[in-house]
Amino acid sequence: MHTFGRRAKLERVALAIVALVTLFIVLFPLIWMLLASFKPNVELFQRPPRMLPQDFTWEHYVELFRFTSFPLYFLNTVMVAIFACILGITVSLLGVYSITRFKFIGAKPFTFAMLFIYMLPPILLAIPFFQIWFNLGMNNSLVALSITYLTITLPFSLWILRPYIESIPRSLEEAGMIDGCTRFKAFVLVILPQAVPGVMAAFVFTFVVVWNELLYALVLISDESKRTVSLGIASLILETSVYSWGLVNAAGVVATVPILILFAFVGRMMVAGLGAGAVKG
Amino acid sequence: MARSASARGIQRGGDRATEFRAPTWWDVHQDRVVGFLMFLPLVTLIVGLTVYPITRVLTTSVYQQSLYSQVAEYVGVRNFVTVLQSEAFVRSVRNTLVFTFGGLAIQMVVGLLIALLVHAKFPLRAPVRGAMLFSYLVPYVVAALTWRFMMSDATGILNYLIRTSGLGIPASWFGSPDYAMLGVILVNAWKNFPFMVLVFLAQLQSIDTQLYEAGAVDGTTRWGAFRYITFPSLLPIILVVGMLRTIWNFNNFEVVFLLTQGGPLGRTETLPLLIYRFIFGEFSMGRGAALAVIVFLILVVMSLIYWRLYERAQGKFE
Repeated sequence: MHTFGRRAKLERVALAIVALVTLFIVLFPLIWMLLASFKPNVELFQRPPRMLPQDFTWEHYVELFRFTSFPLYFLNTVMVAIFACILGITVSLLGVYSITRFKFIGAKPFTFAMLFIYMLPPILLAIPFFQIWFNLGMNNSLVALSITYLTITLPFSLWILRPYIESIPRSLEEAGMIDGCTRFKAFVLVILPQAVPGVMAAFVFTFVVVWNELLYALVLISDESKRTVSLGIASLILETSVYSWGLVNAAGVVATVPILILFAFVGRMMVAGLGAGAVKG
Repeated sequence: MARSASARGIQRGGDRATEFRAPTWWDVHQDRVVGFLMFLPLVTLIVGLTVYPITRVLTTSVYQQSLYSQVAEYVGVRNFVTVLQSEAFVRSVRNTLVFTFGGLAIQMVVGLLIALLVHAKFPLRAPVRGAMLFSYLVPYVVAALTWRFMMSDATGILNYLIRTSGLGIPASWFGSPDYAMLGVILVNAWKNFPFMVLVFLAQLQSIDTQLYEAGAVDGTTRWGAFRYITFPSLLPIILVVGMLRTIWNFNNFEVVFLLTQGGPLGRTETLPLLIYRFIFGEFSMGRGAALAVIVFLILVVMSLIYWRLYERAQGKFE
C-alpha cells in the first residue's frame, strides 16, 4: 500500500492543492468578512472591491466596543449559555448515570423519545414558551431564556454523555461501593473524574449551540438591553438598508472568534464525538 | 481524594460488620432510591420542557387567541380549516419542499465530494479537515451577515462580479423573485454541508481497507472501488443523515428569516416562516399553532418513510 514513488508523491501534492483551493472557496465568505472588518468605510464602497485592506484600521472594533451595546450583549449571551449548559449537563449526567446503571420501567423508551426532540421544529416550541413566559410576566427575562435553552442543551448533552458514561466499567464504582461509598458518593468520586472528557465535549458543544441560537431569543426578548449577540447582529442586518457594514462585519468576527477558540480547544474530541454519535444513531 | 474516601469506607464497613442488625427497608432499597432521585430531575425537566409545551400547542390550535391577550375562544378545527385553505399555505408547502430537497441534494453531493477529498492522504490534511468545518460552527447570523454583505448593492463583491460578468442575471439575489430561493438554498448548503462531511468521513474511516486491497488484487478500477465498496457502505448512513438533514432543513427558520424574511412576494416563505408570520405578524396564536401541528404531522410521516428506506437499505447490504 505505502509506495513512496514519484507518482504517488506528485499525486499527494496535487491533492493538497485541490484541497487548499476548495478550502479557500468554502471559507471565502468568512475571510471576506474578516478582511472587511479592517477596511475603512471608503474602501468598503470601492469598486472594483479589493481583497486586502489598503489602509488597515481598528476603527470598527473600537466603535463596536465603545459606542454600541455589544459588550452587554456578550455578557448576556455568556451568562445565559453558561447557566443553560451547566444545568443541562448536570441533570443529564445524573440521569444518564442512573439510566445506564438501574433498570427503571420506561427508561429505555424514554431515552429513545429524547431523540424525538430533535425532530420538533423550534418554532413549534417557541409558541408555547412565548405564552408561558408572557403569562408569568417573564418575557424579556434572561432567566426565562436560559431555562428555555434547556430544551437544546438537555438532549444534546444526553446524547454526547451517554456513550462516555456507558463505557466506564461498573467494576470501578462497585469497588468504591464495596469500600463503603454510597451510590451517590461513588458517582461523585469515581464516575465524575472519568467522565471529564465527555463533560468538556458536552459543554463546548452545547455552549456553541446556545451561543448561535436566534429563534428563542427573537421570540422572547424585545428589550434592547437583554439582547444576545445573535439577536444584536440580527437586528443590525434586518434594518432595511445597512450603511455601517464595517461595524456589522466587526460584530460578526467578534461573534465567531469565541466559537472557533472553543472549537480549537476541544476540536478533535468534538469531531470524533459528533461523527461517531451520528454513525451510531 | 478517592483514596481517602475508600479508607474511610473501609473503616465504616468494619463498624457495620460488627453490629449484626437486621437490614431495614432503607438498607435494602437505598441504592435504588438514590438512583431514582438522580433520574428525577431529568424526567421533570423533559416533561416540563417538551410534553407540557406540546400539549399547550395542541390546545392553542383549537382556540382563537390574540398574541398579547389572555382571552381565548374555543373554535374547534376552524383554525386548521382557515390555514389549509389559505393561499399562503399551498405556496409555502411548495417553497418548503424546494428549500428542503434542493438544499439536501446540494449538501449531500458537496458533502460527499469533500469527504472523499479529505479522506485521501495529503500534506496538511488535519488542519484542512478542521477548517473545512468552520461554516457549520459559525452562528446563522454570521452566515447571513457575510452573504448579505457579499450580495449587497453598493458594497458586495458577488454583486459586483455578477454585475460585471454580463450574464444578465439580477446582481442582488435576495431581492429578486426568481433568484431569492436559489440564494437561500445555497447559503443553507454552505452553512450545513460540513455536517455531511463529518458523518461521511467517520463512515469512510470505518470501511475495512482489506476490501480495497482485495479489489486491487482483482484489478478493480477506482470507479469500481467506489461503486462496489465505498458507496454501498455509505448508503445506510446516507439515508440516516438524509433523514436528519431533511428534518433540519424543513424546520429551518434562521436562513430564510435573516436573508429574505420570506420575500420577495412570498417566494421564499417556508412553513416555519409562515407560522412566525401568523403569530408575530398577524397576532393569531391559534392559526400559528394549528400550522405548527400540521407541520409536525408532515414531519412524522416523512421520517417514517425514511425509516422504512433505512431498514430496507440495511437489510440489503448487511
